[in-house]
Amino acid sequence: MGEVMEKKGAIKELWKGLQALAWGFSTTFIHLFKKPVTEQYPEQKRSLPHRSRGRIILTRDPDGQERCVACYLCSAVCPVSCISMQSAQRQDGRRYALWFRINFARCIFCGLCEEACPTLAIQLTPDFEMTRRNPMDLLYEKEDLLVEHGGKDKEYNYYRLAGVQVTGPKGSHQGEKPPVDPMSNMP
Amino acid sequence: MPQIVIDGRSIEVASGTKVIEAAQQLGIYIPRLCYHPALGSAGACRLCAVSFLEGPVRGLLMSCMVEAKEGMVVSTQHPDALQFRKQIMEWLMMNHPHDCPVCDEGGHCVLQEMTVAGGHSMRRFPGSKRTYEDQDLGPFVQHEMNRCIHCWRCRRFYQEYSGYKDMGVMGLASRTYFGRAVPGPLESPFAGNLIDICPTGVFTDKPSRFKARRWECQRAPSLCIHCCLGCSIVVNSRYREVLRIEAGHNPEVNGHFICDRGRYGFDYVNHPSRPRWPLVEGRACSWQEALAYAGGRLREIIEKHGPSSAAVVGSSRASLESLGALRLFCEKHAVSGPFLWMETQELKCVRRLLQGQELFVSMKQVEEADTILVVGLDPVQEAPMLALALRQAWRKGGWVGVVDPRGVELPFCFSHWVVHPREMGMALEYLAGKPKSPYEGFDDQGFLKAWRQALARGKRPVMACGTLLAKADFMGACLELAHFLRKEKGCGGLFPVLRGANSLGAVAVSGSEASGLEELLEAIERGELKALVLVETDPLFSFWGKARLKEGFKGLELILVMDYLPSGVSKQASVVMPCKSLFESSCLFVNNEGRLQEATAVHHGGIPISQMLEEANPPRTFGTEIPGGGTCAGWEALAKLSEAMGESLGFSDLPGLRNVLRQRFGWLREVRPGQRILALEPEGGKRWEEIFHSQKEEGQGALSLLLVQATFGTEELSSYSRHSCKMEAGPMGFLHPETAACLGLKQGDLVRLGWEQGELEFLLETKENMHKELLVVQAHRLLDWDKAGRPPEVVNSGQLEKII
Repeated sequence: MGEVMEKKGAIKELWKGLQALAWGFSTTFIHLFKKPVTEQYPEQKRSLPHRSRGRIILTRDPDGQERCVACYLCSAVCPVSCISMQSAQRQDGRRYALWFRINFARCIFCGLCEEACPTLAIQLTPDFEMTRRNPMDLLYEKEDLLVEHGGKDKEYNYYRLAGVQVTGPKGSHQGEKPPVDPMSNMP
Repeated sequence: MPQIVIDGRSIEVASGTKVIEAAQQLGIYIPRLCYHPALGSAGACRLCAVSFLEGPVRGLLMSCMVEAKEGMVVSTQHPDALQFRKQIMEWLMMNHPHDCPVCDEGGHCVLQEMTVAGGHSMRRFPGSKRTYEDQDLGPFVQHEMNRCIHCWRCRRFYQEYSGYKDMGVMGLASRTYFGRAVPGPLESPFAGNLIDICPTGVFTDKPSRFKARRWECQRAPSLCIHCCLGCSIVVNSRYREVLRIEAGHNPEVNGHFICDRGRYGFDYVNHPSRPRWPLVEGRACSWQEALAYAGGRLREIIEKHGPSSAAVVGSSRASLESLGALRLFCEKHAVSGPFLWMETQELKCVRRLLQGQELFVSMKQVEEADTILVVGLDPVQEAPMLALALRQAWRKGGWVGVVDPRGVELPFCFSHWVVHPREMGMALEYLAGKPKSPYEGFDDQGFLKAWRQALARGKRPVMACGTLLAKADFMGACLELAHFLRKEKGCGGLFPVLRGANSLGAVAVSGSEASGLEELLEAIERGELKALVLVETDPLFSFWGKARLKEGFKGLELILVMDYLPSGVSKQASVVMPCKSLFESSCLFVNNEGRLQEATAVHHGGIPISQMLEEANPPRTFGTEIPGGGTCAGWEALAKLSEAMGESLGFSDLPGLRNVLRQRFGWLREVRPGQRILALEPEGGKRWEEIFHSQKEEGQGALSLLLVQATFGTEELSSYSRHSCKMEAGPMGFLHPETAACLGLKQGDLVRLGWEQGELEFLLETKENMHKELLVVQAHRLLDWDKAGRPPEVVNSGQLEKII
């Protein structure tokens, strides 16, 4: 009794498999008669969507200053620890990266650094063509990463919102009241 | 002992315990911003609200303001409490700026943690934010008032706990401002604790500003070796550079805080000219080469001139392992030493004090004392954390009396008996109730009567004494008085303040024939010595014999220096071997009360990346060698040197050395790090009677000269730190205003003190509360010790002249 049941099941399975094969090959068969879409890379290059994740850049704010304040969040979030930097203080009190290094030999282009960046400084671009023969050439320093534009969001300016005395005196930033006079007890 | 139930778990706590502490004992952390175990409750931040379901009080209350009472049932997770705390967090963040990325507190910010924990992520309030102007608070503390959430911790610490008044609170309501009335450096030598204590980024560390996030740092518990107290610290290092020191928590010693000398004196380990490679005659070479050369030369000298022609010198800033290895080295090769003391007098004092070691008390016991005598000691200058402990005793209603000729300043009210150094012993005898005292009958308006009464009233007396003013049998008088108090009250004790971080360790390993540097200097000048091995010591730093030593060095055949400082003596050395500092090796220290403490290695060490930048970028090379990381601990270098001389010291690694030391020194056998050593026995058991040359007869108008310590500028290690040097006030000298007026001098004059063998120049300051027949000069690193010979004990008015 049991053997008969097993036989029936096997035949059913075989039939299912054949059905799937036929379905799959039918797609191949149909495409034999279509026009091919091979791109002649690198002679022809397709422009990738803005959000595709390739080479990393450090952008500038509308004032032309480096956006990066070397807060270490990108290096903290980086799953492969390929970002290292050293923060420092500029003459005007602005915090900036003294040096900033990304090891693209390690980078997996996951985009978490861009997500973590509070000042929109670090961004991924659609450019993916950066293979090198020598791994040391994949060590990008700050001067290699820094660009002259604002990348995806050209208007954002972190120091206009932060409320620290860098781009102007206290109370001159967005959404701030003028400084309190602690010497006065008048309401 | 009330029984209280928190989140369904019951606990019995001591009466008077706050609910927040009871929860902590159960391991339940109630959110808080203003409560601090050392400062107590303020109820300012409203974040520790919990629901009281049953018991004497009901409803939503602050757990830091409510004492645990019998029958209380508390829920920290009650929906009402959660909702309330969430709301409070949102209010607190209403005015908080959007600057975490550029704030150094980010990464170890309590406010950040609480905000994230409360689930607050969007500012719903559409209004503008309050702003404040910041102040310049000196070289240590950075001020950024916008971030303030008005928890009052800073003011509570600064004014109530540490007792300084120059920083406090101004304004009112939501405009309260925490800062100084006038911008300027914070006066408290404990100001750095504001950085640790502030739950937000209002006070951040200036020297390490914008350098690292805490999660990037290598952190380890360590010890502060800038004075003898042995406070616990936490060290933050990154890229082979020590960036910041935070206070460690040690309930027996320093509690939660440390002083600024300990917090900012660490920078000597990052010194750009720190020795990193062995040098032979100024040429960098490998360890093998340096060891072979030095070992060969030493062996030659010993064979040629006998073993006593070589001497080994150490100091009380070296670890117990290095000191022990020094001793083993001396015994193995029969060379002279180890010389561990600058002054023989200091060694004698410490030995004499050791006779009363059963009386020694910890800093915590000082805080709990109700009557404290401070004798021959200026706590703020010599061991700042003691001043903080004394203040805590005073806040609990204790009485503090200071017997000292100097113009001692302390951050609380104390009674000051100004006694000339030569009369200190007599004064102590009088306090111990000895008959026939010259002070009998001499009593300035009942002043001494009040002292005798205070001593009679006290139930837990403690006596803190220094070693700087030891004349005649001063230490003996100290011990006698401490014994007398112990006999009278049945408790109490002695709190000695010594000069080196490891003074007790040094006295315990030095033999009965040990002596100070004067004897060494004389031996050099007599031409008996041909070779010197100096381990973690610099006799040229603020030693009156500097010029004579330098001269004597010319006649030596070999000077071998093992150190982690770019010390003066290493410039004269024929061989320099780079050592590991305290932060690069695990080591033991014995603090002033005989507590054995261990410092763990923080990082491997080596040249910091910040000192190796190529065009602002770190080097692009890689390898297994750490640049400049080839250093040895002092004991390790000594063992290797001994092997190069053909004799093994009997150990090769740290556990091995510690085993050898335990076998060699009985007092170390049963002790674990953190415990007190109860029977420090100097070798030979020979007790030193402290007999000092008596004071010369003085003429009319003669002043006794005292060379004293200062908070910043006299301690060797911190004088190599770029940070603490910013707080130095140059070399100062002090006179009583009347004495100064008689000499035609006034406050702020630059004064030269000249005598037969030399001269010293210092800025004059007058102090009302010092002895009139006294000239006090700070033994400052900026004094020209090359020009100074042995300072005279007595100065005549003609020897002081005004320069400007």
